[in-house]
Amino acid sequence: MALLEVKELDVSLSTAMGPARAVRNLDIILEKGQTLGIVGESGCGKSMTALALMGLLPENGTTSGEILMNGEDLLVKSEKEMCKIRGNRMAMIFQEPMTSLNPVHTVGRQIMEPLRLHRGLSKKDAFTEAVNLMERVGIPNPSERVRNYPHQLSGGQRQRVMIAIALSCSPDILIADEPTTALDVTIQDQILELIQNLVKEEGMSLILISHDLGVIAENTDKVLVMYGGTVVESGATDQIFGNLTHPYTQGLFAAMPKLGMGRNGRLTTIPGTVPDLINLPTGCTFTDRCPLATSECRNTVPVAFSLEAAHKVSCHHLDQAIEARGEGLYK
Amino acid sequence: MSKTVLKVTDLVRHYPLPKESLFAAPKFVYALNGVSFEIKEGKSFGIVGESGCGKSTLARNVMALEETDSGSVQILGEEVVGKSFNELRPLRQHFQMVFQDPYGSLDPHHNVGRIVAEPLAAIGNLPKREKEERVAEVLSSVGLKPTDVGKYPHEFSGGQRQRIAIARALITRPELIVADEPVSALDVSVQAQVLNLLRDLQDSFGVTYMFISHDLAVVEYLCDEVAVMYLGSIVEKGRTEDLFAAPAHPYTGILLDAVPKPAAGKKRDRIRLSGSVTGQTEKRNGCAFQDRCPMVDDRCKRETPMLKEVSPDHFAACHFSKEMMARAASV
Repeated sequence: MALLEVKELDVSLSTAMGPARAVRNLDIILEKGQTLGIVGESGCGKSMTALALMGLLPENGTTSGEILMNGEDLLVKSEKEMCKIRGNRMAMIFQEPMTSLNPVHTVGRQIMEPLRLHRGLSKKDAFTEAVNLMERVGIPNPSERVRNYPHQLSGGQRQRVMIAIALSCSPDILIADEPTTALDVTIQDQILELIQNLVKEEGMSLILISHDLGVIAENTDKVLVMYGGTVVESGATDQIFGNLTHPYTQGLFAAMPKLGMGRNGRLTTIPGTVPDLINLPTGCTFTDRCPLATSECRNTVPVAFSLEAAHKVSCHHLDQAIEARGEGLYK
Repeated sequence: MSKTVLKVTDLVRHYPLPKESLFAAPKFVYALNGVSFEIKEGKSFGIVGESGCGKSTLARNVMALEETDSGSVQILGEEVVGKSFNELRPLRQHFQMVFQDPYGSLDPHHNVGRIVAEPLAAIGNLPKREKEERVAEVLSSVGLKPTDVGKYPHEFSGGQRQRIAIARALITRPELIVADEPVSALDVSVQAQVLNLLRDLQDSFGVTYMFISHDLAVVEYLCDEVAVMYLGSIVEKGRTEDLFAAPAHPYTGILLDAVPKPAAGKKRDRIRLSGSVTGQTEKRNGCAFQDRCPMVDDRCKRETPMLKEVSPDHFAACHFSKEMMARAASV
């Protein structure tokens, strides 16, 4: 049995203009020790997926489907039961370390909180453990830093504190939502290496969410590419980056400036903007921006087609998309 | 010989820190320690570095948005430093700025027409007809509709807002545009659109860009020349292709290595940088990068390396620039 199995997850948010379907028909299988990447642009549903897994959706959010962790469905659990799982068996690192830490408590106190709550440590033991954790995530002088407030730490160090909090109860699953987006490349490098090492040491599973294809390519085993709330392409990281297939994945990759490309080429742009989640097209969500779109795309939802083992693509015009890999779809 | 649009010489800016006691010696944040460079007409000059290296301070000083301690900034041969607000006002039509956050830089209470027309006030009284014509013209050149003038910023997406900000900078037909991280807040596919727009505008209007970014791939795509900053000084500058192909300063090499590459096959061997940028508040002997440099030796702690020419038009401030370049050539 897989550690985490998500089946046909739907998340919708009720808004004044009608329900916004943030996530549709999402399936995830995550084994112990595996690293899964979710990549996509803003509004594609990647953060909502993470919040749904953690049971932290905003109040106007409703879910259907199943989130099975060790066979137990998290969606039917009460808030009280979720409190025991959240931060304990499943923990999350957020994008903005400044806003996710409480500015009026010392970082030590914030690391101690889950230790006392979930592991039932005494104040003294929790303090010692907090210092140990800070040392483990590479904060210099942990015994002094433990008394610092978040504003006294740099961005990278704050993110290390977040990791220490997430790590405090040795969770089975760590969800990192854009953990390095607000950081410099050099600090990003350090934080990603830290997360990788800790995940390996603890045997944790990691869900890494990012808009950066580079970060995903270097740090994951499996990838889901999301667009407009659904998965358009999924598979092993090497398969996907070796054979970009879905028109959206191809476009996203071509739109990204890459080192060594120089000034000669011109960046590909995907015309249009991300779809409105309230008035989604009936067929494929990418129809309006896709160079291969036909009336079939507009009216019927494409089913996931297996290209090779585990590499799945949801597109009506798979053959044309594969053919276009070389010369580029967007001209 | 094309003319020089921007010439910065020995620019120094130190921010005083609050005194710890009445008798304590005053302390400073050494944000800029003598920066010099030149940008020729129609060229793009990139400035890269980690947060805290002085990139944004440099932009604010070039734009004469704050007091400069010493040094000179000449825009089209005209000295900007030391001029009063009223003296600067007629000059401002020649240099305009685009900011990072398209959500914070547009006044939500003003419609697009008013936002875009605002810099025209610096030119003096234009007839209403001409103002409207220029707004319509500049909006269509950034890919917006002239009918958008009556709309408000919240009706636009992030990429469109950045287009409005670019239109506002273009309306006075400036020779120089200073862009401080103009695409960092945007999604990959939208970022590509804005980058292509910036390039097209340069081709059609011949504007000169001073482009600040932490994203090296973006700088490579857009800039003819690039300067790498560390702790308030330029440590390396040169033509983009030379500098990226054979970095002569270890810091440039490490920055380039830290960028995650979106390709199949992960984990590269590389030198990782430990720690973060520190030492803005101290003045000390030797190289600013000595604490984090993998090649550091005694000489770096004694002698401050000067910016010297390592190959034609390629300057680096490192005692070991020859070794660095030899290493790059051997790979």
